[in-house]
Amino acid sequence: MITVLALFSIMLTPFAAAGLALIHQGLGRSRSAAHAMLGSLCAAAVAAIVFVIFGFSWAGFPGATAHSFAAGGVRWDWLAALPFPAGGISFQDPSALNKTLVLALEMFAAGIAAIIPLSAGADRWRLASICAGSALLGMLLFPMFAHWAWGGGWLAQLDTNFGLAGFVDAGGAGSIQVLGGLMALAIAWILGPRRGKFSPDGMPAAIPGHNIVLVLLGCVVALVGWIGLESAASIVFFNAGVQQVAGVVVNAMLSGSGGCLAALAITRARYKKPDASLSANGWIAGLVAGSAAGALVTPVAAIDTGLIAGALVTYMIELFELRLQVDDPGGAVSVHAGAGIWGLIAVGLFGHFSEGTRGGHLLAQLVGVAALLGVMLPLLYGGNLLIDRFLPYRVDNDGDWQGMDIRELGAGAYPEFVVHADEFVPR
Amino acid sequence: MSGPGKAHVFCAGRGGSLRLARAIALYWGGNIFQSIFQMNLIGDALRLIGCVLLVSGFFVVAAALVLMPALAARFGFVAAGLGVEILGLGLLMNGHKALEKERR
Repeated sequence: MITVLALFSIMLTPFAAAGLALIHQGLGRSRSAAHAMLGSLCAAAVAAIVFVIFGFSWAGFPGATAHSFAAGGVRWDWLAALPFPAGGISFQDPSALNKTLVLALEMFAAGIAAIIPLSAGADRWRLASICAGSALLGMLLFPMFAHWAWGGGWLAQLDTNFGLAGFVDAGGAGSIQVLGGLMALAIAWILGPRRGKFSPDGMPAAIPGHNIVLVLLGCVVALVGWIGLESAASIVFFNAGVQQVAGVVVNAMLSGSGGCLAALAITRARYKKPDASLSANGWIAGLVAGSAAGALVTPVAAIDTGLIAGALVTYMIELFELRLQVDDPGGAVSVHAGAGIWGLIAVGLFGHFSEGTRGGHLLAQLVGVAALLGVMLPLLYGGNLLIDRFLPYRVDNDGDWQGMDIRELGAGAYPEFVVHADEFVPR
Repeated sequence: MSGPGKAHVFCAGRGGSLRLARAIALYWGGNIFQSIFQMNLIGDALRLIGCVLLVSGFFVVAAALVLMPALAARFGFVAAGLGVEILGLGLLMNGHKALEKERR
């Protein structure tokens, strides 16, 4: 029963990728809409292939052989050491059922993590570079953190090695969302802002998304995917039963709702009218924050987590754009990295655990956040900078002006009814 | 960033490998030369220090786990490590801001 439920939940997971892709393309410009969707498809495809061939052998699963080193009297298990490809799993071997479920879930998870940075690189990130960046994430960096958190790595062993509690990431808030969000930040830095986004004195210009209906539809599609992702991760990594999975479904809906309503109320209070795109970002931020806990928190705590995530995201988006001059058209850094970090901390604050102290759990979550910022961010940034040296990430100035659809695909997404009076006239 | 822009034609046989080595040296040499003289010193220094602080912050956190047995002391050191990381993140942000300002 629970295995069938796990498989069904894994099969729902691609809806999270579909929802994010719809949101990204809706929040970008119409002249890059087809490119955004194709980029999402390519990112997921490349991440899936490299993850199955190389990544899974480094992500592993609890109890698998791993690379480790000794420091301070303990062994730091930092990377799995399974054979290539697919960790040597045979699909015909009945004893490998659980490992195959982990492989299937993590393959989709790598794809979702690879799609997130497209939001920050909208309208200027080249397709070939999207594939290269996704390969880096799916092959090495996602598997590394997935091993630490889910595969029995050093973060999962904080309880046995240091007497704290194991790092909890029930639905991928750290392994998928924060990792993807930090890569989005690295991409936004490397690409720089879109042409005309900031005036010479640093004031940002509003470049609104071209299709808010698709953005809001993407939120609903993403909810289905999130429910699948969180349920599957809870079953596969934390041995959740059917009742806990029902709890995951309830909490996912509640945290998403809390995030959306908080963003809606704050934008209503600040701008006199609710902002649809920020409310959509609040919805996703709530889902992201809630995905750290799954069913480990009460419904009230899930609402609180979502409310705080939704409120946080409205201010973070403003901070990144106005003060820090980071051009992130879809708000991925705030929604995925910011809300994800809050979600990981919220598990330590609100979680109900059968073992360990509240302080131990909170400390374990903080150590996980520190690992994401102190190890994964420099690796993501350095790795993408290195690729950028050989395969430039940013399209040239003409491409930025013309739109990615015409520049890279040779045809627009809406050839019959979208007219750019100035953009398509030769200068 | 492109190289010095010189076209080289390679032919097999005597002297071909020498010309190839010279071309590679010119290309990379040119890139390094350009990189040094086009560098935004403040922006690049801030980015470099920011990255170093991010990693250092993590080592403070790891050291707290290994060296501090008491929970309160560990909390203090982990908080300090996160503080160092946030400082590094701030420097990285400001480094990029300085680079963008120069680009504009």
